[in-house]
Amino acid sequence: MSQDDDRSAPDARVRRAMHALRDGDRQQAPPFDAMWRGAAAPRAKRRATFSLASAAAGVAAAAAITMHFATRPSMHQAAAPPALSVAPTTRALARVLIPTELALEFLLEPPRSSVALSFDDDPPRGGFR
Amino acid sequence: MPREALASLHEAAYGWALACAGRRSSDATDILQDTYERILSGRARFEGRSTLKTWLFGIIRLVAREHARRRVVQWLFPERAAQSAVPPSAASPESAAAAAEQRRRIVAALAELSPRQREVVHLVFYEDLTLEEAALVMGVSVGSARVHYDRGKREMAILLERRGFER
Repeated sequence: MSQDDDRSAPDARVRRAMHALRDGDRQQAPPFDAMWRGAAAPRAKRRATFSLASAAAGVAAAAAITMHFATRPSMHQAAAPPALSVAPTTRALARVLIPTELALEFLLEPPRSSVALSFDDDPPRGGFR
Repeated sequence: MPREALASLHEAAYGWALACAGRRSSDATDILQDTYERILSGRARFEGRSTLKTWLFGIIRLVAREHARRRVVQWLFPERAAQSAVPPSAASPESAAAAAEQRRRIVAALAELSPRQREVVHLVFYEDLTLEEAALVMGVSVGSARVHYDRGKREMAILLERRGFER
């Protein structure tokens, strides 16, 4: 046996053994598609959960901020006790609804000055000179 | 990341995951699944600094280490792993039994190597990677990989002979 054979003998034996192991392993490898889908599924689920959680957190935060500003006593009220005993929820609703109603009224109703101008341009007949 | 490229490496990746998981097939599947999940989520990104195979193997190795930290006790008992590594076979009962026996001997011989030697022997002889690629996957210098390779190969050949592995 030459020196080269001596050197390559362990290589060949180890390689043959490892290839035999590899051939057996590859027979039992789970299918790629199933594993890939399995890896993608929890990700999609987590993303959906995250979206729901973040939406819920957003709504809760918005509600908390609204309630904070709606129920916070103004500078004048902080010093003096309230004259009427009103439930905080009612007060909060009133503080939201009244400005909303005023804003809608302003937006939907024509300004009084324009009504007055139209009277000047086209005065009503009868009763006036 | 082309899915087809990963699919073509799947069997090799599974073999490497098996090696990293101490030959426990259920752990190897978990490791591989976790690796794919990281790739899909973008937590692991291929930047072309190595071949796709060495990059993938590097991730599998890191994921396996994380899994091993969680399962230190099982990692310390490779004998149990060697017993559980016999695959199902469609061959005749006699040849299947002979193949299983041969595999048992190889796995038992591998279990006697140091972890580094086992890694480099697997990467070079099982996966046919070069020493440079094996060093990349293992995160060591080529010189260090060569030392582990030389000792591991010599030791493995002796262990196989002692266990009556057919030449």
